[in-house]
Amino acid sequence: MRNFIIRRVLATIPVLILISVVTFVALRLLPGSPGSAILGPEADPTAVEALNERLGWYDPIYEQYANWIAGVFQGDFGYSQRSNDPVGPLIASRLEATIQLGIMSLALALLISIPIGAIAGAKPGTPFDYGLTFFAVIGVSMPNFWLAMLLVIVFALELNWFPTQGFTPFFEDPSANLKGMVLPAFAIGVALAGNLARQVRASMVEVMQQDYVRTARAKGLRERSVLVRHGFRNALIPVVTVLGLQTSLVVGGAIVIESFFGLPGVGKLIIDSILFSEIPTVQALAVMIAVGVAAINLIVDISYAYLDPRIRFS
Amino acid sequence: MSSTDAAEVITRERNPVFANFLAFARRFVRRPIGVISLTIVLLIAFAAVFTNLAATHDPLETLITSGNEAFAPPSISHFFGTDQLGRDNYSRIVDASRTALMVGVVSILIGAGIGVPIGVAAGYSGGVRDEVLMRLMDALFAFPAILLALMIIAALGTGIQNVMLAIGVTFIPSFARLVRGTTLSVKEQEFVLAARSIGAGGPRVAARHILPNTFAPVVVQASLLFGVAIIIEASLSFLGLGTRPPDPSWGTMLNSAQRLISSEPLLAVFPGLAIVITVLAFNLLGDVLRDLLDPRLRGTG
Repeated sequence: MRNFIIRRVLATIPVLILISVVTFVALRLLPGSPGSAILGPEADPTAVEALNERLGWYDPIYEQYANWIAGVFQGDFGYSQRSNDPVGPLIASRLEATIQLGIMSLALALLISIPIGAIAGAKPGTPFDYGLTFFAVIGVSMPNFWLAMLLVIVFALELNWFPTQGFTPFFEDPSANLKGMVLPAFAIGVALAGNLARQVRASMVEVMQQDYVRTARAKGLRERSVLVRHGFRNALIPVVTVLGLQTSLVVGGAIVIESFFGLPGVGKLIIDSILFSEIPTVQALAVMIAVGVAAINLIVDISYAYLDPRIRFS
Repeated sequence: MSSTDAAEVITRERNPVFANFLAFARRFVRRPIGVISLTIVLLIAFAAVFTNLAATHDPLETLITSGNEAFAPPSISHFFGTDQLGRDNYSRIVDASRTALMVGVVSILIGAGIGVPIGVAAGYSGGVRDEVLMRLMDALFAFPAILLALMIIAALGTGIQNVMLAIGVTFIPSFARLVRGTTLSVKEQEFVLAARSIGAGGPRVAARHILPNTFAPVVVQASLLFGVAIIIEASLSFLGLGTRPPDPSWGTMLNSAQRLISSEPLLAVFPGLAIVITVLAFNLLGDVLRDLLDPRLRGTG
């Protein structure tokens, strides 16, 4: 197990380096320059050039990359070009809404998908199974922002149960906070639930064909305990592997959904920063998100190897 | 042996590709979901190619040019009603199907065109080359698809061409990983060994013997990613960072519907339905193709 962990961690290091290179190069191609972004389009060209010079814009690209990455390791992500505030604290102030949204949508997705996926997979070929598969495919085929619009039309505008927009910090007013987060969490969670339900179902179908399930039946266990103790518990193990992908979907969903609901999270910050060509902010966010996803994939791989010893030795 | 079997054997010997395709088509038509989803895909493709025949109005005619009413409710003359400018919603949705299909086709060609060779090269050569290529794919894969697409759009600017390129790039790691896996299992097989033993070189074996065997999984993946492409395009356009007018897009229509959501909620319904039906058709088609083409699943489920 220790060797497996060391091997996986070592394999992640080049990925992290490549993530930073991809981010840096992609955003270095942006049109315009930081000087013109800071001083505005009508600024004196010589002043823009002088500022670019001072910011190191004309240095060789590998030198710029080295400077940037050295800053990142010291927690210095650069400064916002519009407000001149440091990017690090700006992002930190946006984490609360996004983390809450992520946890709520993932929890919602697991609550929906695990029971119905397991029931469908225990009895494949039944109408319930076909119904689940169909709804899961619809969930995956629906753009999250369109689902958000439908939810707003029905539950916010018609029924007036939830606000259409806005965010209240949890510790200020927990009930207003939760009310505001229900629709965004649903908008992201439904697609996740569709994915997860299919995974749980497939895994349950496979487990129920295993020899140990037949043995459990043969020794006369009640069907219920065969399903729950021998089927369901083993069926959940492979589901762990898709959690990494779900993280990616949650963050991707947050980018669109936070903008739609006006939630002051990381996703909305990305869109706003792109609209205003705030290169340092976009770079910092992109690196943080990709590193986060890579780290979660690493944790997922390790926990899967822990749960299923066959993986460790392949 | 009955006479039909004999005929089949003869056809197969004369033209194995055609005969395989016929056998596949015969299994496909027995899957109702496959037939229905393929029909929907073909109908949408028809609407996209022959927009003039499928649309009932000029998608650009407004209340000024032709005296249409703004926000007309759905009726015989305007199936889905009209928008704030008096444009016919149904015809605009038909018009935008062209954008959706074009984005899907081009982004998948880009993703598969770059990802498949990377996958074959990585899987076939192994060693350091495999390691370097796959770590690069892992790095790209760590970015949520929409974030990577947004970064590329930020660098290159909005507009349909950059959208197709951005989505295509996000598909490269999916194709590369898939094809690498297939290559690893194919390269151990006897016909590859046979080809190498009669002196075929690495690139030739990869192109002539390994590449064709990755075709089936790539087709399945392409069908599933087609839906993803349509959703990403719609999301980018919804955020105002995708397709630009005058190129029509379901995402752009939903973007303007968003501003009128409290007074004209119906405007938000139809473009979204178009997205869901199209993506659903591609997803169901992909599932059926996977069942039929993946030998490991054959006979189960």
